[in-house]
Amino acid sequence: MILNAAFYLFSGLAALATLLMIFQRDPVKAAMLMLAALLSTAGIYLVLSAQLLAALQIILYAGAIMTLFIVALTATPAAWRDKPGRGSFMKVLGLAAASVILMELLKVSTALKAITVSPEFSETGTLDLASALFGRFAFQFELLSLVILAAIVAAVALTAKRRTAQ
Amino acid sequence: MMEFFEANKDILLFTGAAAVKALAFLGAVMGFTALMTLAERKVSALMQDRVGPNRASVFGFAFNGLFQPIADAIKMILKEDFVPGRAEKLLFTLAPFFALVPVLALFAVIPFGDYVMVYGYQLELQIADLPLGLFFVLALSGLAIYGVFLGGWASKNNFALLGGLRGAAQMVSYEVVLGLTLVGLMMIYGSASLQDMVRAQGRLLFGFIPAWGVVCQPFAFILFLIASTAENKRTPFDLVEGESEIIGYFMEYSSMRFAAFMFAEFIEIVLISMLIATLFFGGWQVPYLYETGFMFPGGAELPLNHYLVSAMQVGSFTVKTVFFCWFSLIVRWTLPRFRFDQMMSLCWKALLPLALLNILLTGAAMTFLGKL
Amino acid sequence: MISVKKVNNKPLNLLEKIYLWEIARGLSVTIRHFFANLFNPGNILTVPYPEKTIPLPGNARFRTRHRLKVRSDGSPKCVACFMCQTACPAYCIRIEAAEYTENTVEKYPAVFDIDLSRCVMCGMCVEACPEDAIAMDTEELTGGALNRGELLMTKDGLLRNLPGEPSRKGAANRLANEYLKSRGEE
Repeated sequence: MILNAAFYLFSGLAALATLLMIFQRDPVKAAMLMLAALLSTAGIYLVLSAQLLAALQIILYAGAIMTLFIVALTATPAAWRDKPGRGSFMKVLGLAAASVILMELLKVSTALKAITVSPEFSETGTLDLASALFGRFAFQFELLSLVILAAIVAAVALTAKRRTAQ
Repeated sequence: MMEFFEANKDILLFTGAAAVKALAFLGAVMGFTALMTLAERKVSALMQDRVGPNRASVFGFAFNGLFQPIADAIKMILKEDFVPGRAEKLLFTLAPFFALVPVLALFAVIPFGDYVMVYGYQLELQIADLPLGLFFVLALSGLAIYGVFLGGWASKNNFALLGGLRGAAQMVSYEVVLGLTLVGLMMIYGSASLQDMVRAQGRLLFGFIPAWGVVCQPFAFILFLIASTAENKRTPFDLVEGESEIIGYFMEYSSMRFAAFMFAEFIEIVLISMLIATLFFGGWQVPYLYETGFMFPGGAELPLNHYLVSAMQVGSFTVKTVFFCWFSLIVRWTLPRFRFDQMMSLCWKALLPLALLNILLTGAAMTFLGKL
Repeated sequence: MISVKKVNNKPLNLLEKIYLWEIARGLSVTIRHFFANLFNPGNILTVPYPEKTIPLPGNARFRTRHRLKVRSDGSPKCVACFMCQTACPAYCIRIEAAEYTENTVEKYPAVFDIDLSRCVMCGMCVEACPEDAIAMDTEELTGGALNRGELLMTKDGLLRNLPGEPSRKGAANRLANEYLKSRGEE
């Protein structure tokens, strides 16, 4: 009973924070609302007793990625303007992008309805997750790390190029 | 009514015990932190051949400055609560909470003792024994960045923003090192729960050396000490504050809002001291002290009362914590500040590779020497 | 042309590059001081100031706490001319003049207050005094106090001669001296 209530509370919070984020003009405040949404998602994971996932969600998304987002956002001029300007062209573009994403989401949601949780799947243990990552999916996992390595090398190469140009 | 109590006896007992533990532990921590604000000035004074604050008195009794924290608190409360005109009011108000709350929440996973039997009820001396305690520590210490950054940004002051940006960059960088140094410990003790790790440190290596983290992972201890000092934004990594150049992210804060930032920093010292004691110095373990009493490696035994053993364990944890708090103060008043590029290259070019090397070596040692 | 001073720092050796050994050496110094002062506070040079003072250097010409000089008959040398009050940049002197009943030549201060919490120790009052009645040579520093009342010096506290001071009979003022001579007191 308590768990159900907590689940709905966190889900409601996540949905509310996301909605508020969409209608927020100030980019830094929007980022803070996104942080709230991410934290409530972590709360949902906790309620579903996926502790590792919740911890990783906070460490990676709230702790690292959102921090970088916010730091980058404060450097944009919009964060320092008292009233953010807006052009009608951007509005049209935004609406178009939103409608595309909405269509995709609707498509996915119909597919999601058909999925059921397999009973033997449990995510509570770190051990299970680790054995899956380093056993069954070891090749894919290593492949992913290669992608990240490529991204890091590319980033370093880009910054290094800019420095020589100066 | 009685039936309700009978039916939910377990959960009610658990909740009640947790509430009592949280109140007692946090109360002790808060009191100790208030004394830390005094200790910082007293220790620095003694190191510099001075006396330190000794004037604040109650009815003429000064006790060499013991009442100074109370005087400070009264002064802070009575100061004007100023908000700059251009500041983002909401975020400006929220920032001190962001700094304070994650740090306070972290005390939940720190084991300050083994267990005590109270009327046949086994009271674990830890507020919440999370199976992923270490991840919890990393997650919440990652959230502490927001207090620094929002404080700097919401004041709409260039110096404060500079402090906030420095803080965000520094804390994100050192968070990585902090996480990687703990991996070695998790590998050795085979658990991410802090209580399990402390229990594992009660074992003996070669029959007589306590298997404390500092013995098994001396390298990780030094890395953790450095990274945690940087995470705490204290000298030699206090560029975030940098009082001689940019004043820092709390430049526009006054009154209790500023006090919240200040207090959060001091609580963090206590927290990090507790973490170092827990992870590397056996937490509440006293060497050769087991549940029934002392068992020395030579074969000598000294049976002790259960309550005495528990008191000694909590006392051992307290002594270790106080020592590392003191050590943190000594370091803060000895070392000069790094330059920002020096600090960043120290993190990414020195500490991070060393932390990865530590994991590699630990893995190799575990493969060839076997598990602990 | 800016003069540039070239500093030839010797390059760090490996032990110094890893900082840790040097940090430990630095810590050992501060820790030594900490414990030396913790167990033997006698080495601390701090003086608990208002209660305890160290004597000023012998021939120091500091401007210290004020005093009003006294004639040998016990009357103040001050004639309440308001020069010092006028000269005071901090407005810390308050004088109320009164007249002697037996002489019509000079006045005396019925009230002479110096508010030390406002005084800037500039010595203008001493410069301005035509009677050489006010001086700042007590060699006592104006102390810390717990409330403002303690820093308000009244006439009673100000009127005093230094020990061994030749308290010359009579005033420095010509008119007053002539008056005293006419009464046969000189």
